[in-house]
Amino acid sequence: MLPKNLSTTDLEDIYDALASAIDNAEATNESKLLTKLVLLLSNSLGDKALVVDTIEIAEKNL
Amino acid sequence: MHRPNTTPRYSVFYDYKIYPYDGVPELNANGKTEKVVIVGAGPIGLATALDLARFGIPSIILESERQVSHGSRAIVFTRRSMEILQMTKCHQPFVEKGLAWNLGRSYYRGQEVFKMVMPSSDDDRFAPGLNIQQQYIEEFLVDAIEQNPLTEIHWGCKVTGIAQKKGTVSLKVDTEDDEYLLEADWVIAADGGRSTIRKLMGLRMEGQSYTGNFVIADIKADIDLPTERLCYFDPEWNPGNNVLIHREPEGVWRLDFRLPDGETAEEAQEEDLLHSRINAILKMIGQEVSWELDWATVYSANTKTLPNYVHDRVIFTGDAAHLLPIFGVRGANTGLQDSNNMAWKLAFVMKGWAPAKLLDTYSAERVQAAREICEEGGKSTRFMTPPTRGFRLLRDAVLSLSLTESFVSDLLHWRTSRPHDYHNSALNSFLEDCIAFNNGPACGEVLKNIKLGDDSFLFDQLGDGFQLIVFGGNGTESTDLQSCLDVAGRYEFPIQRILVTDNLNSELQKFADVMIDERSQHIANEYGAVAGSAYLVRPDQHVCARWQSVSVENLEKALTAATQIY
Repeated sequence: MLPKNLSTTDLEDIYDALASAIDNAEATNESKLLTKLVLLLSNSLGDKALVVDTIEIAEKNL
Repeated sequence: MHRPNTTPRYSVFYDYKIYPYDGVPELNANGKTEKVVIVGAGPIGLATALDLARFGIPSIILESERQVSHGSRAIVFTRRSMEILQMTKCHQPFVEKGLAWNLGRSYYRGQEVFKMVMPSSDDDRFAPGLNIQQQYIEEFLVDAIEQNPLTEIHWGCKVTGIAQKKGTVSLKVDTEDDEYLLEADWVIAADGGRSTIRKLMGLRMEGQSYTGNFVIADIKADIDLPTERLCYFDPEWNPGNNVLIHREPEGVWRLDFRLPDGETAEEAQEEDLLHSRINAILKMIGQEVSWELDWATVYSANTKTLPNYVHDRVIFTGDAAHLLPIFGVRGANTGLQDSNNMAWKLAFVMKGWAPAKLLDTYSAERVQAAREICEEGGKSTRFMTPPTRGFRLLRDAVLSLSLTESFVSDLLHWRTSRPHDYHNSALNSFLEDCIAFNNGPACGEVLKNIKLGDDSFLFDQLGDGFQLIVFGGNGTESTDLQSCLDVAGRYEFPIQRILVTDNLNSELQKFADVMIDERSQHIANEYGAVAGSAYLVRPDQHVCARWQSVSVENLEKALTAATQIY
């Protein structure tokens, strides 16, 4: 289980921002947007192992 | 001529009573002007009348129906709502009939993914939540109205027109006898979400309506589950949607579920479909029992408010003023805070204790509250009924993650109605003194209740007007405190003077209306107070000033600010 590193307020703001970005991208570009986002955030994190582990978490319970 | 339904509504648990249409004597008395006419005998209109009566203000309520509302409607009262009812001394029937609760759970794919215990302490008289159907809410308030010499309801009187002239409001009232004109000094529009007054005045709300319909179905059934808020996301029988379950008194249960997109209200209430869904819910929760349907309706979510609640002599309150989401039990609970905020201010203006601009602070404070609730409630609404593809994807992703990752759990919070804080209120003063406290309610916040003994709490000691709570003790007899208590007792409007002290022989008690034994120092600790401290509290129990060391000069300035007498 991942630790909580964001405040609830920040998480809510990110939730809203991401929802809006997905709506703006429209259905055809949704996957591209989200994939770009993962790559961008991975680069910001700078930790390959953490990213790979997190991808495994995201694959659960789809 | 207005002819309301006089056949008692159908219910499997509630005996509807038809209240008499007794004519409206005022309508026959040419030229007589009522002081206050309240339009609408729902919970907020009724509570407003009782709250005005605390200050000696008479009112009449005009209600178009002749029986209480159809269906359970508003079923959860928060602790703050109960504290407001206690101010009008009509809370006891609610406590006896209602079901107290403090726990909510959310489920996804058979797993509990969120649990919240609403805060409670020994210092609270009331539970965080109390489930009680709106029929009983209205019945108990009507009983209190009938016992109060300053309040009366005129059933079967439908308002069909309104006009304002300088200093007066004229209402056109349709009854089974005829149409009449009724003049009033003030009109309170408490006529609900479909407010006639709001429509007649051409006022529009700002905000958002959400797509997505929900069915509420109340059933009487012998279900063996505790009194908790239960929420189920994405059930197999209703994929992509959700179900809320609340227990009500009299063996009734509310089932509240989102409909598939595109399904109409008529389709949703088709008997076979409704029954099959109810059975699916009961199977889902492991309670396949027989049941009877009491009531069903369809609703959708809104986050809307009027931008201004005071229009000359017409004041809006409750759902007539705003439409708030059901999630977080916002509707009636917000309405009660509206009426409690408004009633003392209107009373002070009518009594000549404050200028009319005091009422502007009702609008300012409650519109701000509604906007904040719209923003906060909007988050819950977007989670329960995602308005776009993006929000649905986020919701589904959070639900999926919630099975393994706790960091997302706060996003499932339903954000319960809470007492609103008026931190920016024009009625607050001495803000530097306020922030010097290390504990206790700050300016704009509601007082904190304190248990004083068996069935005895601080809020039981509060009067109907302002409160001046002073802290004596430490063997000192502060002349400042004595002077403040003395001065407070000389104001034209009521100020309850409460002395909190460990010195039970204090000379200050001669100047106080109530003395509270504080040998335990519990109140002082909870209020961050020392000997010489004081809290000035509005009649709606919100703090408007506090000092570690109070003086007469500062007290007088604070009272001027709190009543807008400049």
